[in-house]
Amino acid sequence: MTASNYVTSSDPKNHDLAYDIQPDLDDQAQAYFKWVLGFTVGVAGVMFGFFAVSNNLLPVPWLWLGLFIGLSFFAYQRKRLNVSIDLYFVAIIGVFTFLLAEYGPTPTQITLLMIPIIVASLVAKKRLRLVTAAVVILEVLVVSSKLNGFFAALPSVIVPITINILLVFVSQFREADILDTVYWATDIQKKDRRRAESFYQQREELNAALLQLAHTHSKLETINAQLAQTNIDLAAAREKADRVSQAKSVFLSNMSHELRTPLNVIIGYSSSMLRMPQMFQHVPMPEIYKPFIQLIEDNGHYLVGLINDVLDLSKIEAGKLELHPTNLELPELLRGIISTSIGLIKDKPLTIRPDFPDDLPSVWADPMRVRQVLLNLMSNAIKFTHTGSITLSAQRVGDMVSISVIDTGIGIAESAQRAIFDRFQQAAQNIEVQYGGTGLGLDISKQLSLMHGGDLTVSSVVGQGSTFTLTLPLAAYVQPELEHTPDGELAAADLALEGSIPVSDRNCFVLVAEDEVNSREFIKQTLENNGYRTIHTHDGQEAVEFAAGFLPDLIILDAHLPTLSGWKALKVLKDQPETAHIPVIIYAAEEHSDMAATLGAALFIQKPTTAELLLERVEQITVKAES
Amino acid sequence: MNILYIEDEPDVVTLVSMYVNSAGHSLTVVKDTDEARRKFAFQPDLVLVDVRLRHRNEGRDFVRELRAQGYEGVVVAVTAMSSPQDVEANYEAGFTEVLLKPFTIDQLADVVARYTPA
Repeated sequence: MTASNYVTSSDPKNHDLAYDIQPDLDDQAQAYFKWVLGFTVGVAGVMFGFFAVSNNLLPVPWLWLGLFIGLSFFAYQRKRLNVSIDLYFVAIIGVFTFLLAEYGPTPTQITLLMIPIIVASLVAKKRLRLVTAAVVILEVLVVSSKLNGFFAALPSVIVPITINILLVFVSQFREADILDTVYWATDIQKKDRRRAESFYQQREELNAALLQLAHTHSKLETINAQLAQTNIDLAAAREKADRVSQAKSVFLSNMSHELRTPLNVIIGYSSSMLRMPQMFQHVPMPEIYKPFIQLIEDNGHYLVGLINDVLDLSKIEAGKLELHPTNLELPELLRGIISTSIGLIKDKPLTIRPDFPDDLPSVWADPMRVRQVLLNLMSNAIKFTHTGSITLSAQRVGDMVSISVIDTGIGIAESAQRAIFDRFQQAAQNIEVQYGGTGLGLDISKQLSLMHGGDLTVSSVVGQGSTFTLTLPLAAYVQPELEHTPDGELAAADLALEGSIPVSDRNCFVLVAEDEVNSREFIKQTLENNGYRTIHTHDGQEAVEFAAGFLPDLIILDAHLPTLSGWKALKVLKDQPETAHIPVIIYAAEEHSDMAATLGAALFIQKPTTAELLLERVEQITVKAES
Repeated sequence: MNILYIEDEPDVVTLVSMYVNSAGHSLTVVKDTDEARRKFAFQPDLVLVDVRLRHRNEGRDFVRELRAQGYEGVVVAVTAMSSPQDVEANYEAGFTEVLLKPFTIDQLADVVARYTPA
């Protein structure tokens, strides 16, 4: 790089250098000029003194010099640098002119003339430099030729003049001051040193960072190894749990079988004695025995019910209870419930009243389980109502059918209503003694209702009666194609939201984690009918594994899943870097939108939901994710 | 009507035989399916089979075998295996009907009456 490049370059890479250095140079030039001024005053003083002492006083040039240097100094003090420099050259050139005139152009004199030119090239601007050189050279030529004749003088002045011209040329061609070069060079060095320092510093930092990285890496490797071990342990624990669970269900199933056989003897013979006299050769049984034989049979049936409850509960707990939902016509089922319930009243002064229209829309439910829940509610109502009525009513409420069992019984205190669906809880200890029962029935009924995508709730006033309400989703909302039109494709298209992506164009992959069969089917059907691809699981742990393995575009998590709850699964998903970006919808019967948001869920949907709402939410998220 | 009953629980056998005899039918009782195969030659009108015999689901294999041989008569499972899966498996194996234990005498009477030829 040359000096001119440095000063005039518009190369953006060098721009900052020029910008940095230029003001320094001016300052430096000013400082040097100050020294030059001082030096010149000193020289003038010494010369004046020297000539005065030698009695060969030649005052005019030194007075001239003193006057103009003084003016220049004054200008310098007033910060008029250009004026100061101009005055300085007037002073110095004048002095040399006097000296030339006095002593003739000897080589010494002419060489002295180089001083203003050098000084000019050090501190003056281009114009002044040229003027100085021109004036000095002209003077030399004029003075020499006057004294000796132009051509006679030429040989003695040609060398210094050429040197002067060369000096001017050099400084002109550089188009920069010599000092610039000096400072540029020193500054480049400074810059380089600074760069080198920062480079070394960066290298140090880099080394430190690399060391830190290596350290972190080894830590990560340790953690990975620990994780791998944890995974192995987890898999082993899970396998063990599966084996235990398997063993438990085999045990329960065997136990059930073993209990039923002796119960068959109890129920079989007691029912025979009461209702099949021909088996006993028509020998009449004393009337006084009859109620007690009846008690034996009733308790036999009660024990069978208990075994069924325990089996159901263990299946629900293990997530192994499967629903077989169909398009269920309620009026027929409800009439069956009523006729069975009438048989349970026996001699109590109770009436059972049906209160439902014949054109109830069908629900999407497992008939066996709905019957189980309603019979449980009816038998409870009969058990706890001594006189009055029990009403079985049903009507459509929005997207659900709500079925209520309303009794005029003893009622349930408000404080006990919350605990009533809890396992093994009955409202009070004395109730259990007085009325029998284990309290498993309502727990199971609640679980079964939730599994259907519905719910079971209670309202009651002590002494006036209780109302238990079961809600079930309309079949039309779960399986729209069955209700709307025989052509499933058309129905699905109808259901697709206005302005949504055409069914066939979607390329969205949804993981549905839901252990309740019909709820899962509902979500799957709704999404698949609208062009989403789905994969499903009934298990929380499996949901996490599937998510990492399949990297779906969206995950719908039920809050209550076996092995790993939806909440825990959500946390794991958000903690895993490979799954953290996947939006998650949490789906629960209870309102927990705050918790869902805190744990990083994209959305919370409360059960039960409609196909429209579900689609709208899913679309909302997948569209957001795409954009 | 001739009824063949495969059952290894003597107390239940007594109950069923008391009812069947009082209802005017004849009952042949065997303890396992090997014996049942030997007795099958007398062509029963109704076959009642306990599914769980000798700790195996022998009754299920037996009815499968009968159906494979082309037997089209009524074969009723009388069993304490009450889970939906078991009930389904029993129907799939070829049972005409499943009577779950414990049964009341009315339920037994109902089954017998249903398959008694007019």
